[in-house]
Amino acid sequence: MNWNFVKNTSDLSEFCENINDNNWRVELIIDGIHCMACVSKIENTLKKIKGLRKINVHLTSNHAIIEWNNSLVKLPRLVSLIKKLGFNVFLSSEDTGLASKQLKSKEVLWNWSISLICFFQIMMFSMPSYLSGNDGLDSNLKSLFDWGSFILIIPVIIFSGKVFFQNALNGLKNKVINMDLPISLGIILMFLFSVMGTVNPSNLFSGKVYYDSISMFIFLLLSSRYLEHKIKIKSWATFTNFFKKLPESSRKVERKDFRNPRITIVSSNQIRKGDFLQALPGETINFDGVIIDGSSNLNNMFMTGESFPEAVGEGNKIFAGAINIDGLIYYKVERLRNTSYISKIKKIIEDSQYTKPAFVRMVDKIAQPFLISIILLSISSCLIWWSISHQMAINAMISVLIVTCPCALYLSTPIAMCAAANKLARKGIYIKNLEAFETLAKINLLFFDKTGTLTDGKPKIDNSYFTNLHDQKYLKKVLYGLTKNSMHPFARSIKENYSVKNHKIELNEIKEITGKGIETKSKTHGIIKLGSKIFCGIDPNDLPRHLASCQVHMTFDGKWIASFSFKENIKDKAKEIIASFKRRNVESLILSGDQKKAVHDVAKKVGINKYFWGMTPKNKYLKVMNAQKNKARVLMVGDGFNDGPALAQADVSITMGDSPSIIQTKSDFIIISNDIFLINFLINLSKKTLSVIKQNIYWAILYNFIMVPFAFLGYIEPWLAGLGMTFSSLIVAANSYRLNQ
Amino acid sequence: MEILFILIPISIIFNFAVLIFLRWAIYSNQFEKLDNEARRILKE
Repeated sequence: MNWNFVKNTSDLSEFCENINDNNWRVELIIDGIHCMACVSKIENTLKKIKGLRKINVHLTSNHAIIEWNNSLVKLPRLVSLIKKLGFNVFLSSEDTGLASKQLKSKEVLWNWSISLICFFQIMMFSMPSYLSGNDGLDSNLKSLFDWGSFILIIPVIIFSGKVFFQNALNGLKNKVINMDLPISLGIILMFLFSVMGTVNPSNLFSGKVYYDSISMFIFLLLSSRYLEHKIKIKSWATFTNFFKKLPESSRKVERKDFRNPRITIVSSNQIRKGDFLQALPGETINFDGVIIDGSSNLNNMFMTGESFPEAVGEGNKIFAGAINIDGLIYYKVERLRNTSYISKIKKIIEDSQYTKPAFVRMVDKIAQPFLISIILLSISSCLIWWSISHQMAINAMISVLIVTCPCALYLSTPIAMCAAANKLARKGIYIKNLEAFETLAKINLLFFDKTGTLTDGKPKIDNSYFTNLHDQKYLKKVLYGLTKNSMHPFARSIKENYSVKNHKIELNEIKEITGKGIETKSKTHGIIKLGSKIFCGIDPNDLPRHLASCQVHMTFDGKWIASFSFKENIKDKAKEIIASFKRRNVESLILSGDQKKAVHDVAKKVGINKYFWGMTPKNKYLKVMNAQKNKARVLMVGDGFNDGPALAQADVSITMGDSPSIIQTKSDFIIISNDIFLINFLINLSKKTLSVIKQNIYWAILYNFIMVPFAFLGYIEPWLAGLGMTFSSLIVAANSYRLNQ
Repeated sequence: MEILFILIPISIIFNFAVLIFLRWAIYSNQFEKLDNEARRILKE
């Protein structure tokens, strides 16, 4: 790709997303990233550029997301900076990403195969020395086998060992000592001494060679790294498969007559907001939009993790990624690819990979001094032993370098986080902030939002009262006509209750005032209003008791016509989860903006004693702050609709439900599902994850504290050191992988 | 035992022959999509 041509904004819009004004966002693939040092190098270099707003480079997938201000700096300059650092930059289209990944995995397999084949052969060649007993081998034969091993070890070191040397050098270039430095030093030392022993068998070290140790070590290391790599890829693959590429082409409706539509198949890139598309049964919905005509059942598995179909019809919102099961629908495009619901989730997951819990950051700091001291220890053991026995000196020096395994510090935590995130994502729980795992384990106070969180947000008509002045059937038709296109939960409930096939009532100019009601002008009845008491102009004192407690009323020109009271469905298991929190000594409260009676009813049904009603978003926020002032650790669960500030203020917050606002609101976790019991699952898993990470760190400390002194004292041969190191790192990886199950 | 001085180098040559063959196999996609052959039977 010739980046110089990307100068005009019109070029940019082909593959970048315009956030606002001059701010753009692009997704790239950066090839050649081997380790965190490379990631930091790229990020730090670009962060210094004026005009760069945000950069996130991801280690495993090699994806990078860059946001910049196009009036301050142009994209070609940013790209050339990355290239100068030694990396190749591609656009994030599926093809280039896949091709480079495939090439890389072939290379990995090839390097590993070399180490495997040569390892077997070299082990065979080294057997005679071991089996020959105290007399040693005839010197000619020894030379034969040594030279043979030497020839075989060369490809191993050049190809298979390359990755360790590259990583170590990259680290040093960035002034960072990483785990591969001791490994590289160990390999180089063993190789040097082996060559010396091969060329001059009667040297200081009686010609001892280490070809078998080198090849076994490299082979085991590559094997364990390959396994770790697979584990990480498996965790990541679930995310990317989830959001597999949406269809390339869409069926655009040219004429809006849905009985006789004219369909053209266009590339999805050419669809704009407001276009009308047709979705056939079996197709995947391409864009976020709203249904204009037709009805069907949708499979929202990408959202909820369950394939239970959701019935949708005119006026319902649908999202890209859903599968249209059995009906023909026409929908209007509301959001394009980059701003779709599904891509927002994807971005959240990607961004969350960069957050780190506090104690992991602390452990990162220890890694450097630890590795430096290992290198110093190895040098000092050599010096100490030199006067006693040259052989022991070499053994000790090499073994100290190799036996140490700081893998728990480097590898286990990312794997554990990945495994945990994967397990959660399979249930529809997405982590925005990994740090929240820690706080989640410490909460002692729970605030719940009511509507949409404890209740399912779909109220049902409890009681309905109609006047005698008009025919009920007729009134029902009017009601249906009024509520046909409204999205308000009360209106939808009325619509579902009174839906008739041939209503034949045409109501003109239906006006909906959000949160208050619906009104229209009719020739026969004057102004028809449907909504709250205040909206209809009814004085509560004028109403009899049973009508005054109704939430929705209808009037013709101010005259009372009908009233409806609603009851809310409590979500399944809401009661159980409140009880389970009580058992944990965590108190739950409700913060709701609804009326007292409604909140009281819900509180009673789920077993909550303390509840607050009529709360504005600001009141909710203040409640959370007050609780925190009294040393409480607050978990707030809401739907993001009117509890944004409270959610942001709480120590940990979860947004749940199925409206897009759960993603936009600032929170730590998103549960895209209506199963409230998942909160329990989340808390349990976060506790497990933290304990696994801690276990790994304890194991690492234990292992190093025991093995390094033994190596220092010369008790451990190099090959044994290599064995210990790989098994330790495998234990740590397997322990983390447990979380995935 | 002198025969070893011929046999060992021959074995090393074999070793490299194996490596060359493996390289061909890996880079000509022999190890990609291992399930395809299994599924082909079902398709037919």
